[in-house]
Amino acid sequence: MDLGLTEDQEMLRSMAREFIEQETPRTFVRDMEEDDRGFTADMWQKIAQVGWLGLIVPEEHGGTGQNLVDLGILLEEVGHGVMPGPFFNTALTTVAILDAGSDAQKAEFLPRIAAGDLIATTAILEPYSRLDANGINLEASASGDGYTLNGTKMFVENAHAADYLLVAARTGGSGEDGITLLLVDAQSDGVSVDKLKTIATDNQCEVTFNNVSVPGGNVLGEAGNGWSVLRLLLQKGAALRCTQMVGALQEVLDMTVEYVKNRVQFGRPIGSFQAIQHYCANMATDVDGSRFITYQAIWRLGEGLPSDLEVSSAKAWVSDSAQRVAATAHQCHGAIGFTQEHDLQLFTRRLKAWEVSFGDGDYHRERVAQAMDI
Amino acid sequence: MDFRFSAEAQAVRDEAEKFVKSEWQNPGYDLTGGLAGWHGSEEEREAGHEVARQFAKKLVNRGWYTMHWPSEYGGQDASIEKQLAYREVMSYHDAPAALGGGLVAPVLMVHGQEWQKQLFLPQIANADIEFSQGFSEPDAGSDLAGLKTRAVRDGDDYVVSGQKIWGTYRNDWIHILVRTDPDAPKHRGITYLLARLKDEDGNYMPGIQVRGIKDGTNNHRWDELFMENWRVPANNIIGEENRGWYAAMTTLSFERSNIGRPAQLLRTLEQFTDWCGMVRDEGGDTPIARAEIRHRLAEWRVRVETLRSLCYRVGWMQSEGMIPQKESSMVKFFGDELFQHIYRGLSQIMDGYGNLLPGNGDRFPLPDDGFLPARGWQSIGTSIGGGTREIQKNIIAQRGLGLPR
Repeated sequence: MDLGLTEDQEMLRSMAREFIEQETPRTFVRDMEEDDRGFTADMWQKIAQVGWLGLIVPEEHGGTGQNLVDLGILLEEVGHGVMPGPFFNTALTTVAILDAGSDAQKAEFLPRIAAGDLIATTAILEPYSRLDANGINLEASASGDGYTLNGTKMFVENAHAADYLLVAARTGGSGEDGITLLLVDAQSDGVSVDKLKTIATDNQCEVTFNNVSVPGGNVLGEAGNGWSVLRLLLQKGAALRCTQMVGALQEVLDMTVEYVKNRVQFGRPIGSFQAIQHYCANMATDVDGSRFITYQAIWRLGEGLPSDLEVSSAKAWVSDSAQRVAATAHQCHGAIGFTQEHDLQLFTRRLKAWEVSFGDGDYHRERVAQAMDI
Repeated sequence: MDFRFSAEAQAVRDEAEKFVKSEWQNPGYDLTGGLAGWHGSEEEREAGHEVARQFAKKLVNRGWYTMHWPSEYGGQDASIEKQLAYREVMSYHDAPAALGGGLVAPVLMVHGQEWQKQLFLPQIANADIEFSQGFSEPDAGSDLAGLKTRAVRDGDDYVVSGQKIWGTYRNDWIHILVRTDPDAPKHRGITYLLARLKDEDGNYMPGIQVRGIKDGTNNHRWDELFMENWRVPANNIIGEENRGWYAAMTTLSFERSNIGRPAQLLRTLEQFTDWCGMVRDEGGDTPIARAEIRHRLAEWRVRVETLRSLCYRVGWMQSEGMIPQKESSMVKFFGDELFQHIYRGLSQIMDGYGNLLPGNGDRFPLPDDGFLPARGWQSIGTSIGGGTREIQKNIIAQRGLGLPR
């Protein structure tokens, strides 16, 4: 048993922290909240140059061939620094292509992703916002050697910036049968993207497909049998989102501890009051619990082990913990933490968004119940 | 990163699993919870202790009782991971297999005099001797170092007077903290003694009186110990005079991840699930068909999983030579609260059946070997004994996060 990081992983972590502090400091994060695109081309190119976009891409396709745990460690830092941009989405699409892509698709997409020339995101949810197979109803009808898409996808993060969308569509059947995954060129005729105003300014989009033609060669995995790929992708998405949340939660805790050590009332730091100390102890326990339950989940997924119970345990715990930790952090900070000028809100708003991303606590508790065979 | 046990630890786990299934049958006493019988006749209590002692003997024979001890004292130098794997299995099966020797063995190994080591360690290793523990006092609970039991040197003896509480003072020997210098700062005036409570005929020594204390379910759980001019040979000292506090804080690299907690709770949840499968209403539905119950069970399962990962973290830190501190406090208070939620919650879900004690015959099948309501009661004590929840949180905040006192 080894719950620590390897030397290489420690190095990845410290380099990532340094990069984010330098290239996307909090002032940049704030600027990007006001920006239409939400990140800059310059930043994206730098991310490509330091090798993040090719982190899990095999060497033959221009990457460094690292594993899912490594990606999780990197995303922890991305969360810690609330780094803007579509890194999470592009990385998750990369995971899907690695899991299910043909050799030709890997050769076509992965080098471009690794080089920073292709931004991608996953388009899964629909207006009913259901993560189960019955929630996938966007129509993909066969036409010629390809498909024609009609319908709407909701909460597609960073669709406005994406070159490709990984779309879960229905080519027939019902339930788990008849789901097909398609890599759709976002510039195709009939694709329209409407950016939504959200509390996290996290560039959630509504994407409508109006007679959009997709070549047959863009089917990821097997047509009609996309559910098994999608099911695993949803798990990996949930676990990777947890790693990002763990990074953000650690920063919220550290920020709060620092604040209560320095904030003086009644002639003493408020951190010397037991009420505040116990709040902080609760937060630290939530954060550490989040970290290790997440590591367990991402490690199992990386090893290809059955992970239903572990992934859903992680997302249920982290989603709920995140809200407790953020609320307690605000309580400790008092009025100042509620202001726009204070950085705490940058985290609280994102943690709220990530609470429901890839399933909230209720959704995952139901999945845990299923994994318990009850 | 690797959450798997090493091949060596996995082997211990497999062997322990086989062993406990064939050698341990729950006798109807909740031994792991320290609760021997319910409406506590002394006979039941003694019977429970005897069962635990017999099982400890089996562990001695198997070589597991002191697997965690250094080889120079007859142990096996078992790695933390092996200890962890072993304990997880034993706890899952509700077997009373706390690794042998308790607190006193490591203290003797590090601070004991040669005669003490030679006399006591082999007896401890054979499960032939148990020590009572004389730490807490009526006015020294969380503030243990404020203890007042006075020991005055008189010739070759200490003369001890005072009161101890929250132990069971039924053993022949006790290890006890006493105040030898009332003028020194509180941590620096304490001495650690090993002493006979009973003579060789089983009678209490002169100056000793013991009174039982029952818990709220009428179960004889603890004793009070009254000492008046009780003479203890000065040669029984462990370590140096006035340095007893520091000797008592000694820990060796024994596993202390609290892994037993999540293991036991997991077993309870599984047994409860089985029970639900047996119990159906007129419409044929089991309690689990109710969404609110299903989701409470799932939430408890999530928390067990989280707790277990935190316990593994403590074990992993120890095996890396790190000293867990806030990490141990986290698993303690988190585990206590989860124990409370689960046992109280399950007993509530079972309606009136959740209040049934064993002894109603076989008419009513009960989950968790029928210990559920007793453990629901007992759960109140979990966040008090062994360092209250509040003390654990103070440790996390002050020593872990560096918040000012």
